[in-house]
Amino acid sequence: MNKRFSKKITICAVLATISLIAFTIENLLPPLFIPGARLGISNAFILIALLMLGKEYALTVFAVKVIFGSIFSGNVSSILYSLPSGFIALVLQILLLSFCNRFSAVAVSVLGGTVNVTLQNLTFCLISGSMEYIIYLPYLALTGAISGVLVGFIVTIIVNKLNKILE
Amino acid sequence: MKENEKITKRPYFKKLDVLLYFLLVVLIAGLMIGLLNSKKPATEGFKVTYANETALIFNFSQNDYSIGVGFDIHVSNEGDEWVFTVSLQEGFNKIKVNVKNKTVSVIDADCSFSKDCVYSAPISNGKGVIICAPHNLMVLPISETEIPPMAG
Repeated sequence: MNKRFSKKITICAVLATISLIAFTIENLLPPLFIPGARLGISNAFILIALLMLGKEYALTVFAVKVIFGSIFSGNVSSILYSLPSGFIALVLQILLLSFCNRFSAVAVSVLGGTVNVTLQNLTFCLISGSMEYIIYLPYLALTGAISGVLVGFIVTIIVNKLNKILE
Repeated sequence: MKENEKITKRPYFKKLDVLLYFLLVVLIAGLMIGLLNSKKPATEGFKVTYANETALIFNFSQNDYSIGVGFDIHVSNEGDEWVFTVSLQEGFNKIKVNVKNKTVSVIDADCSFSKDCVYSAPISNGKGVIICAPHNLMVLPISETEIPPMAG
């Protein structure tokens, strides 16, 4: 049991580190077509943690990615937008997997991606006090869904290969 | 296939995914339709706000501008093009205006590594908005009613 727990902690740490690196690199790159749109590859490691290790580890990877990623990317104010929206998206993914395990990882990723960017946009409008930015909402939702598909496929491939490590 | 492989293999698609994808398509389509029915474009000018305070107003038809009190904005002009360098506590943003095409874009800033404001689509035909979140700066089109008399 201790060996399995040590394995999980180690894998969690590795996933958190890779997620943080991916997030930092994503923030160095220009946005995809519209401001604020990213590939979302860093979210893949949160979903891998959720599927392989469980919700506590996924929340840990998420917290490390958002908090330290915002600091390292030089945009600390982004914590205000990404923390609540990412948390709600992750909770929805956890609920979807916990109560109804009839969805694939790709579908769960698409849901998380769409909800995350949509809520980030709305949170930004509320915090900035201006609803002008809401015109990007449908396009951001679409990019979130598309990146969710990509991330979902990557996660499925990786999880299928790595599940044997925990056995 | 071994039994443990059968248990741990996750599929790329399950039947119930269709329901989720359908709901998302409805959501995105609804947002798109809502966007199309949103307010009419404002083509008479644009304004730059910082922390919801107006820093700059530009009138395309008069080819004139007005700077808000207490704001440090350097102005340069070449023919139909204006460049406004807005210097703030957080940093700077350079805004380029083409009066002939009525387009506005942010051409440089020191906000972050990714510089989302610089890569934002220009405001044209009175549509669009450019936001620099780290600098709390916004550039948006305005209608004639929102333009005050220019002091020159």
